[in-house]
Parts: sequence; structure tokens; C-alpha cells
Amino acid sequence: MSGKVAVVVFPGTNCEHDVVRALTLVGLRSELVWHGQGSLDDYDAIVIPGGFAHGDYLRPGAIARFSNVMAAIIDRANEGTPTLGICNGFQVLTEAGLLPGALQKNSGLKFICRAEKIEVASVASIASSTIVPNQVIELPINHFEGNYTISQDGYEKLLENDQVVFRYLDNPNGSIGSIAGISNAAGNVVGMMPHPERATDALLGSTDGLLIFESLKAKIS
Amino acid sequence: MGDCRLMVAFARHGSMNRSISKLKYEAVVEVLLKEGVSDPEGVAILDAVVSLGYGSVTKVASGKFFRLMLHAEDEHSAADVVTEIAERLLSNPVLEDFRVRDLISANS
Repeated sequence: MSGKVAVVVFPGTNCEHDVVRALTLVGLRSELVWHGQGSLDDYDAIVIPGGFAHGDYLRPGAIARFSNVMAAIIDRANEGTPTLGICNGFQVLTEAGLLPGALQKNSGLKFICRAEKIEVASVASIASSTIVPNQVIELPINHFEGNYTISQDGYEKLLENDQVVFRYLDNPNGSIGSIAGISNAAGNVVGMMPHPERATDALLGSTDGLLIFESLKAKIS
Repeated sequence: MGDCRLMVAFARHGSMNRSISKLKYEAVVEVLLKEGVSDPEGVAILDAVVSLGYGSVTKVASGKFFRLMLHAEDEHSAADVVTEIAERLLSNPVLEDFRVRDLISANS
């Protein structure tokens, strides 16, 4: 183990360099890993960045889940390796069955690209462990399919297990419970629609995204 | 993990079928959102339909339609393979239901 983060790149991924930059800012080393790669043994954490993996054909994440690298991601995630999916990465994690539920088209049928206020609802996850509980942060969202959907039973299970990590203050897309991000029951797999890597410089309006990467760092070292 | 292996299995299955020269089938798979899942696209289309003057229309459901051509021993095994593909790939069980329809022999 080397304290290195794998930043997974599918054909159509487009936020990988922003993620690498954000990881560097908090002092984490990372490498871009092409989706055809079959092993992630050299890495201590995995980030699936945003974009349009495989053109979002069929459904976002539906084709990506059959890429070679997914078997390695599923194995490592099940072993407890910190795994973070951002935006399209969140969609990939739900399609792969690593996170429950699904992301549907926004209720207003509009692509939304703007900053949103987000409450950190759980600090039990790898993406929020060093954040003050219930802190409100500001992160940009940039999606058409961000409407988190799950059965009522599934939603209650998320609440029971403290798996709701991020909630919008002003629900922009129709997500059940204003959910912006969730974790698996163990807390080591997190999917979130907002883009923390785009909020890492005061010049761009917010540095709150660094809180997410600092939490990830705390779980690696 | 299981899914990746399944895709490999499908690929092998397919090439095997071709070499033994089985019958050709054509299947249509229809994927629609589950009852109770919001369908903003369907609602937007309904609004347009009504504004065109078709006030008698009360609901539009949007969905997807896939046509698959395949080789199989008989109609049963063709239906089995198509159903499996629809379950594993073409639909997301959280949001959608699917129906395999119009499975027809494509041998001329």
C-alpha cells in the first residue's frame, strides 16, 4: 500500500483532472486508471469522477458497470477500500449495485448547473469523517439525472443505518429526502451528485469541496 | 463482479450458437418506468399532446424499446436469453419494468 488514489477514467469521463488537482491540494497522490485495467491492488482509495461514461448510453453508468475495472472496484469496495463516486461516478456505483437506489431524470426535466447549499447529514462516511455534523457547505451540481430514487423501505433503511451523507437545503431535482449523497452500510463507499472537486479555490466561489477530500485523506493515512 | 462474468458468458454463448447454426429469432423488449416512479418526460409530452388539442389523452408514459436479433435452439431458449439480458442490462429494477414481446422466428 502506497497512500495512492486511483482516479478511474472511462471513455467519456471528463472531471478526472479536476479530481487529481483536488487530491493534490490536500496532499494525496493519485493516478489516472483506464477502465480496461483489471486490478487496483496498488491503490488505497478509488475515486470515480464525473462525466458521461460510455456516452451515458442506455442509462448513466449502465454500460460502465461492465468495464473490466468494475470487477476490481467491486472487490476492493467490498474489502473496505474507501471508494467515492462523484456525479456520473455515483450513477456508476448504483448501477454496479455498490450503492442502493438509482438516479433518475431531474423532476423539472432540466439540466441544472449551479451552486447548492448542502447539509452534511452524516459524518460516519469516508467522505465526511472530518466535517462538523450538520455543517452546511456549498458545492456545485451539474447534472440531468440526479433525482435520487429508492423505495420507501429502502429510504427508511438508509435513515436507520445513517447512510444519508449529504442533503440539499433546497431540493433542486426531486430527490427523495433531498438526498445529495449516500454511503453503503459500512460507510466506505460514497456516491454524491455535487462536485467537490469544483469547489477547491476561493476564486471559483467555494473551497468547501476540500473538506470531502480531507475526510478521504484521513481514511487513507 | 458477477455481471462482468455474465457478459463473458453471453459472448461465448452467442458465438457457440452461431457455430452450431441454430434458428434465428427477433425479439422486442419494452422498458417502462414502474408505476409510482415519477415520469417527468411523460408529463411534459402529455402537456404538449393536450396543448395540441387532444384533450381526451390523460396519460403518456415514456420508455425505451429495443430490438434484438439472436440465434437460439428454440423459442423458449431465445426468450430465456432475452429475458436475462433485459433483467441484467436493458432495465434498472429500481426504476423500470420490462416486457419481452413479439418474439418471432426470423428464418425466411
